[in-house]
Amino acid sequence: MVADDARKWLLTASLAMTAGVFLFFLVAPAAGYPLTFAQARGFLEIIVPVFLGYLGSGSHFIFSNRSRRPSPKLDASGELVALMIRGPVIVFAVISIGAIAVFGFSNRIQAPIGSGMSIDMLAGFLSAALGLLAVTTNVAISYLFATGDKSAKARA
Amino acid sequence: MQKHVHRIYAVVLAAFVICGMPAAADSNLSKKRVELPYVPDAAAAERDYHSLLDEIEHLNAEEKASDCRSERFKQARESGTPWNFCRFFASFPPANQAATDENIKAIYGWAPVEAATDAAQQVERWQIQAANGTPYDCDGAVCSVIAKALPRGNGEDVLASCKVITGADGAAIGAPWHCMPVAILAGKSIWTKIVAGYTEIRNRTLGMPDFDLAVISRHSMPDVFSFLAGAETALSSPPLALSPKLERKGSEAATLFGTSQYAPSQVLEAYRPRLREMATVRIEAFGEKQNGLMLIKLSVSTTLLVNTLASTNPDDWHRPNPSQEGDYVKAVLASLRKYLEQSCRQSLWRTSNVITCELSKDAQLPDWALQ
Repeated sequence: MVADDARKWLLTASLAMTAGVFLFFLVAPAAGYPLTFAQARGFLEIIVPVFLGYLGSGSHFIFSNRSRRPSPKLDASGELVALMIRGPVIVFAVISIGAIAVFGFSNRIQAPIGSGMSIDMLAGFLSAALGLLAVTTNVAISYLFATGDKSAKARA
Repeated sequence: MQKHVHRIYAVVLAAFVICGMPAAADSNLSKKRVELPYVPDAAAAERDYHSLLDEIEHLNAEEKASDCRSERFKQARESGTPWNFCRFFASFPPANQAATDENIKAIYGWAPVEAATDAAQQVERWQIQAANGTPYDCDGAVCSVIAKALPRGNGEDVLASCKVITGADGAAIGAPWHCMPVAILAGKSIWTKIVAGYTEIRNRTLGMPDFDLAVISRHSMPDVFSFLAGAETALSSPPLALSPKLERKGSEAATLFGTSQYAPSQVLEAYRPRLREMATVRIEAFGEKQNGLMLIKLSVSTTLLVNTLASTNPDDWHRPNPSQEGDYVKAVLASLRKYLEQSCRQSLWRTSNVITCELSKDAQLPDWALQ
C-alpha cells in the first residue's frame, strides 16, 4: 500500500464514519431508539471530533504544497501497513455497531426491567473503541498527513 | 503455557465484570436517589439560618412572647382560641417533629444540627435509613422513607423524607411522593430542616390535588365505597393499568391508591423514545350528606416517574416533562370521568368536574354542592 492509497482510504473512512454517526444519532431518538436527543448529542460529541480531526489533518495536507510532492513508499510491508490503516477503523466500526445494537436491544420496550445496558456503559464501550483509534490511526495520521511546516519553520 | 493461563484469567475476569453489571442495579428506589424540583445546598441553608437569627434578634417584646413552647399557645391550641402564629427559639425542633395537627401549618427553616434538638442523632439515623431503604412510620400501607435526593451538586448529599405505598411484603412500590428535603450533608457541616414556627389554618384544604371531582346524588344512593369501586376499575383498566389498593378511613372516607412499577407506559406510548413508568395515583374520597343530597368529593393527585431505559437504577428514573405530565393527568381524568358515568344509571356533567347521579336535569343543586 503506498502512502497515497492509505491517505485516500483514511479520508474516505472518516467521511463515511462522520456521516454515519451524525445520521444515526440524529434519527435514532425520533425513530424510537432508547436515547433522548440530549443523550444522542452527548454521544456525537464523544465520537465525531476524532473523525473531524482526521478530516482536518487531511484538508490541511491537501491544500498545502506537501501534497504535490510525489508520495514516498512506506518502509513497512504493504500487508502490515494496510492492516494498521484499515484494521483499527474496521474494529472501531464493529465495536460501535455492536454496542449500539446491544444497547437498543437490551432497552427495547419489551425488555425485562433491569436487563438494559446503561448510558454510562455504552459511553464506556464507545470510548474504549475510540481509544483503539487513538493509539493506532492517530499515529498513522500524524505521519501520513504531516505537512512539514514545523521543520520548515525550524530551518528558517 | 503461561500466556494461555493469563488469557483464561482475562476472559473469566471480563465475564465477571460484564455479568456483574446488570446485577449491580438495585430495584429498591428508596435506597438510592429521588429527583426533587429544588434541592437546597449548604450555602442556601446557611443564608436561611442567618436570616432566621437576624429576624429573631429584631423582634419586639410582644413578638418575643409568641413562643410555640409557651403555656399560652399550648392552651390556645387545645381550647380552639384563635392564636394566628407562633415561633420557636433555639433550640429548634427538627422538621420530622412538626405537629401533625390538621389545623396547623408548620413554617420550616434550616439550621446546623447543633442548633436543633437531638438533630445530630436524628441525621445519623436518617443516613442509616437512606442506606438500607426500609420504609418506617407506617399508617396502613402508606409509610415514610428516607432517600438521597437528585440532582446532587457541590459534592453535598441531601436526604429527603418521602411518602411511599408498600406492598404485602412491606417493600415500597410505585413512585414516592411528598418528598421533602430534611438534611444536607456537606462534609463536616450538617444542616437539618427545622420548624421555625406554626400558623393556624382556619379553612382547611386537601392540599394541592391535580384535580377534584364531585358526585352529587340522592341521599339514598350508594355510599363512597360504591363510587370508589368505579374509580378502582378506572385505575386498573387500560390505558392506566394501575394496581389499585383501597385504604378505608371510617364510614364515609377512604383513599384509593393506584400504582405501577416499571411498566411500559400505555398513556405515554406516543412519546419517542418509549417510556416506562412508575406511577402513584392517589384519590382521597369523602362523602357528605346534606338536605337530602349526597356529595362525594374525589381529590386526585398523581406522582409520575419515567425512564427510557430498561433499568431499575433510580438515577435513571426522572420526572416527566410538563407535556408528558399533562397527558398523564388528562388520561387519569378521562378514565375517572368515564367510569363515574357508568356508576350511575342516569348521569349528567353539570360542570367539568361535577356529575349528578340519578337526579333529573332540572334538579336545583345547592351552592355548597357546586363549590
